[in-house]
Amino acid sequence: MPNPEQSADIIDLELLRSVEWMQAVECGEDAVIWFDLEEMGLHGWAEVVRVEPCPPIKAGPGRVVLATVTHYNSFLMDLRLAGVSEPLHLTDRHRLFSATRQDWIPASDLRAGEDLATRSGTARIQSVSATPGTQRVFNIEAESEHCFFAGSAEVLSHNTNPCGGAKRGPKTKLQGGPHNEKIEELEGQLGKDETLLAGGGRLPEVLIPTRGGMKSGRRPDLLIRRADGSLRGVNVGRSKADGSPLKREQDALDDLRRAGIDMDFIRYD
Amino acid sequence: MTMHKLLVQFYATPHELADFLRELLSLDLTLVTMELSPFLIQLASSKADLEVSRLQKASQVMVFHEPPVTSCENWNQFLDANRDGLFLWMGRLDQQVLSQSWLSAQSTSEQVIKRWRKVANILKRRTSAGVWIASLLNKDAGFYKQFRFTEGALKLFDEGCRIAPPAGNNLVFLRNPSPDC
Repeated sequence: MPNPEQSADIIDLELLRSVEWMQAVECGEDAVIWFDLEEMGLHGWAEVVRVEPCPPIKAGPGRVVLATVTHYNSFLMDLRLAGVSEPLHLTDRHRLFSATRQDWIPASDLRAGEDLATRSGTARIQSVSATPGTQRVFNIEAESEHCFFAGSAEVLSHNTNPCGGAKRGPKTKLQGGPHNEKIEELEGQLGKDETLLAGGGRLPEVLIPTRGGMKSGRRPDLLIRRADGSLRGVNVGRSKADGSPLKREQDALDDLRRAGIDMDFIRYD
Repeated sequence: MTMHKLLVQFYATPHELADFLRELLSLDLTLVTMELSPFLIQLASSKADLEVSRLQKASQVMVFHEPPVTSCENWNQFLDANRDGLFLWMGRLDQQVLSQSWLSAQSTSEQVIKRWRKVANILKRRTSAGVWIASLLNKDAGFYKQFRFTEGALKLFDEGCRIAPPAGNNLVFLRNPSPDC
């Protein structure tokens, strides 16, 4: 599978998959199937080189590795933890579990002073820095929990979880999802002097940086340009019984507003 | 059915945007420019139509494999009538502020997006990936490899031009900023 970021790089994937999965994505030798590897920032068509019977799986403790992914990456981070001499080398998108934020956080968003979950408890981050150069990187998908302990500090680390053909996010209008139906409805109600720049069910949603927020970037459901050139964003989401946004919707609005975006919230439920 | 998307957010000078569009014209693609206020769609059929001076009024350039429907009264109608195009929102260089451009496409057809990815790769070859962005409020900074930039944008940045985020007030650096940025 060609790397969309570095055209000379080929990503090698080795997967352990059920016969049902292979039939669903029409996977056979010489077939070309679509992959999204969101955590690694990779997506594209992958050529199936070989299909073989599953090797015998050893009995005993531990999880079965369902996938290995390897390729060259220029976006690498070094994570130094208190009391651990060896830094953790990982890609900027690789997610670790932050005990401070109680969430999976990409390496590029982790901060010094934050606590990470480890097998024995927590470990504090001393520093996070970018690693210069290009290196071969590896990732795995483990069965069941979709996470594993990485490095000598045994930091709780998320899987690569390669999902051929699978997509994340709310159901689209084509799938009968009310979220996207509402977005398209709003897009149809835009004023004469308003121009849809992104989202709205018609165009991809652009990434707006929200440094210092709960997340480092957000994608408003609609980004609209007013006649005077100013911008406004609209997020469509679920609400509580009193009509106010659910916490995750409110977090998104807060992040965008803190970053200076004029945001509206429209409920769809 | 899945919606397939393509998005490249980047910084480029007006001359570099015009140069990129002229390369697309040479690939036998149909280009149309869009002006806002008043809404105006015009076919760009020659390289002269894509000179910087001619593009100054246009906000967006749309690219199609087949001639698009242009008899539309507004942007929404145009989007309705022309579903599988490639859209370039052109960032401006105004008073020493360079705003972001983005190239985007969305389609239910994987094949359509696959074809546009080849065009996007032309842009990717002209740009480098990764900028630094900091919060205006607490200086929290991070690396965004999704945002790309051209050599011309980097030159402007080195000369003191402010680089604006796609929206909002975060600070954008095309080189790794010092800790006290």
